[in-house]
Amino acid sequence: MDWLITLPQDNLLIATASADLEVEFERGLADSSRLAFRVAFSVLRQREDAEDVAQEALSRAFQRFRSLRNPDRLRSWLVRVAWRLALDHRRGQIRRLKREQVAAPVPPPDAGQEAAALEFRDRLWKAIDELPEKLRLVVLLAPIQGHDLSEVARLTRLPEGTVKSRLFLARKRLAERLL
Amino acid sequence: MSCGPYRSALADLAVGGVVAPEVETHADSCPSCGGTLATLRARVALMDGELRRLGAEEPGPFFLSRVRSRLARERRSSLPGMRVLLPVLAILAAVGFGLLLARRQPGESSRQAASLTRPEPTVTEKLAAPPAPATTLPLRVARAARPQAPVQEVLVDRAESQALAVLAARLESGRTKPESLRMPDAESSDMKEIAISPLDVRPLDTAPASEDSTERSRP
Repeated sequence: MDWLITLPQDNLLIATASADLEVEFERGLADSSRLAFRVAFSVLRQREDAEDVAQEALSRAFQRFRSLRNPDRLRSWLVRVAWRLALDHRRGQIRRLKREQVAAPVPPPDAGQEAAALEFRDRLWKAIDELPEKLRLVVLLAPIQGHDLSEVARLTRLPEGTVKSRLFLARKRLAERLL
Repeated sequence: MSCGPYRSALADLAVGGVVAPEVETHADSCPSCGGTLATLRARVALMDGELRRLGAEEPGPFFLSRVRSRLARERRSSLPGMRVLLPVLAILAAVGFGLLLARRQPGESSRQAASLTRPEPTVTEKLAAPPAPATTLPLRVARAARPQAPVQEVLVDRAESQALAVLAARLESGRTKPESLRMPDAESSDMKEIAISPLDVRPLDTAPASEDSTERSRP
């Protein structure tokens, strides 16, 4: 009787496939890490926190890369994970800020154009933070890396028309809040 | 002209939405609505600029290398070989530690070996000796290691040996007289041997029917 010993070959195949996956992941790592960072930064507006969140998202993406081999799926999955992690982090930040604001006195605003710009930025972020999550996602994702509507639709896995209407609605609400 | 119906459409116009032509006409002709529209457009431009700036933000120069090193670390820890190797290494380390501990206590093990090979003291020796300190050796180990000598001796447990030591002390001090001690013997015992005849049990299937009936009728 001939015995078919498949185990070593299987191991070899798995090892080769694993190495291929790693090479593939490594090839897209620079782009993916920038995307994850920007998504996180758009929510957190703090470099260190955004880098931490992006690292975590990339680590999770790497663990799931075998099932997310399609680059489009990986990117959209990465965006969702980075977004979710960043929102969680942001909630923690807001809780901490509230505690610190109670304890520490508010510094007086600087005079001049810079103070006005800072004030506008604060109002904008407050307005963005108050948007419903589905509107906030598209309005923050659209300017990242110059994404057009179709790219945002791919990343969010939504129809392009839905993205367009959500983006319009989000911008209109923000404009009204900033008036 | 009333501005009310056009006010809500001004924001649509400011963000590039399609509105009715009369809204644009009104905004051109009404200074108040025109001013509002201009302000809205300026704010939207600022907002777009801020969002673009945010969207173009680059991570720090060491970000990518940090990501790479973290992924490499996680890759190493998730290697299938490591999952098997780590428990094996842990077991080997535990065994090695145990051996090391055993080597570091040679005095104790030699003491144990000596106690195993030492002949068991006789009852008289035990009586003469002070109460023995508590030993950790189990009784069956001592029995197994005892040399096969044809001497008559009794192996007693610790409680019994202590009782005997107390008795010896009392005999020595005269508080107990030796003649008052009584050893039980078979003759003085009240117990009598009784003989039990073996039961006569026959197989049921070979027994005749008549005998069965007599068996049943027997009280």
